[in-house]
Amino acid sequence: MSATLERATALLFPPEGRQALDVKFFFAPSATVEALAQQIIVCFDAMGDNARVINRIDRGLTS
Amino acid sequence: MLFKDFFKCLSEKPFTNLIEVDTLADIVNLHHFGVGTLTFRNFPDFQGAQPGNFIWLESDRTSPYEEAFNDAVVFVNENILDDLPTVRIVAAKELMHVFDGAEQRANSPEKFKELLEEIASSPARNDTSPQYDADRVALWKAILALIPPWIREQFVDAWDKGDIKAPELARRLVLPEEVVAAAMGRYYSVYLDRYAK
Repeated sequence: MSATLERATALLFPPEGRQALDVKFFFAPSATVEALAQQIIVCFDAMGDNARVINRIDRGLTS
Repeated sequence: MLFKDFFKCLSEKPFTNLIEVDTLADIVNLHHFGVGTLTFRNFPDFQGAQPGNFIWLESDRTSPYEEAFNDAVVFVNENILDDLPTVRIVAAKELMHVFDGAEQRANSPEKFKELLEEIASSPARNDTSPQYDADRVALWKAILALIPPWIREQFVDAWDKGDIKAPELARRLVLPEEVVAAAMGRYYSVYLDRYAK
């Protein structure tokens, strides 16, 4: 197992602490295991960055 | 909350000409037992990054003063943020994973690794795991939610006569062309019956 996959797995399923209940991807056929695992690591970093919150996905389309 | 209950909630909302992903999120936030905090976030793009993903974490029990809630996070790649039709289908599809059945969830190291291997190797239909199959199901749930029958029926006659085509319908519904084409196709009623009724 690559170090990237190992780290992503440890973030989702740490020996102690919050476990992942589900993980999914919106993916293209070109996806690789390494890049998908890297995406999990990047997303865990993004969870701590409030500047990355999207308050309104649709930006008020119907308002 | 099952998807069919969610769909009933959606059908009881005041009519609008298109469905916002934010409306779908509001229903999940209000009515889906098990999802405490639902947030959308973007993440930095990198070589090989995909358009989006979904991570659902069990409740944070570290604070004795706050009620424990599960956190569901829908992630959107920052490089698609300017493409609103794509953002909408990516976010809606990932959001629909809150309705994954227990067997469809990648909720262990083994199932997570199996999912990644499957995504990377595109196995044939009969060789896929439930967590991999859940992806197509979630996409169809997103299509049903964003183009419910009461909106779709406005375009069926024009679509069948060829008076409106995918680019125009996509523009009006603010979704990618392949999504509206799928919604107007033969499988729509199959999946409507299977998942929403």
